[in-house]
Amino acid sequence: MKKNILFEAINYVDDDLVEDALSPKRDRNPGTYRFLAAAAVFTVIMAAALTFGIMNDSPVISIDNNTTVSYPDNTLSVPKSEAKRS
Amino acid sequence: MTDASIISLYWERSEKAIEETDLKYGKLCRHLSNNILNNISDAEECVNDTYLTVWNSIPDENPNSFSAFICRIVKNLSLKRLEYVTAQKRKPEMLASFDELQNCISSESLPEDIVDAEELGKVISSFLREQSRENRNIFLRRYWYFDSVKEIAADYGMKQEKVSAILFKMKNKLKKYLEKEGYCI
Repeated sequence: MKKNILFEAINYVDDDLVEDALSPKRDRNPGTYRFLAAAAVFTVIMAAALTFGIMNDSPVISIDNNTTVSYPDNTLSVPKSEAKRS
Repeated sequence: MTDASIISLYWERSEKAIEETDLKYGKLCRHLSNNILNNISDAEECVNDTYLTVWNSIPDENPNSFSAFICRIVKNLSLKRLEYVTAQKRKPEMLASFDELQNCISSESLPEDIVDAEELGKVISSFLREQSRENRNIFLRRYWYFDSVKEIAADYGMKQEKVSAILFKMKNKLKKYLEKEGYCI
């Protein structure tokens, strides 16, 4: 057999690389992992924003003397007296 | 059984060690040997010789990676055996893999007596570590394990053309890397 130094040298490649090559399954592209991670973070943020948004948009009725039926963004603020009437 | 447990059995000189090795790595060893020899009975004999070699080696050596250790032994024994068989019996896949790599480096510029294969192996390891895991493993499946492009493509869910393209690019990169490292005059 004709000798080829490179062919022989490959036999000396580090053990961990040789072992890793036995893992048969295809790796996802690192870009795919980044995309999936970003999508997961985005979903969590959106879910949190929606949850707090819904909670904050709900009318809040406090029970002290200054009670008003109000929305957090001040789009609607009803004085206590009117709130009682309604 | 874990590799550590199998190695422990060798240390205890329990014959169950060979049984467990065959159970876990027999198929892989036969596949690798058959890739080189293209003969099932020759491959079987090499695998049995491998177990004997492992049996005799383990008290002196404590391999970090048992799978790589056993694969290296079966590969070396199969290559030695290949030297005794006729050229007609050589497997085209293994020879094709051999021929493909010849273009990466000029053997005239690298007389065997001045180049240490082990040292060059370390340089190739460094090169492979810079590649993506998938490309690296495809390269090793082709040139270390002698798997065919078809087998690799099936395992990685790729078309054969893509595997060939990856190998082609890797070889070119390796050639440039070796030149940069001073392995080409």
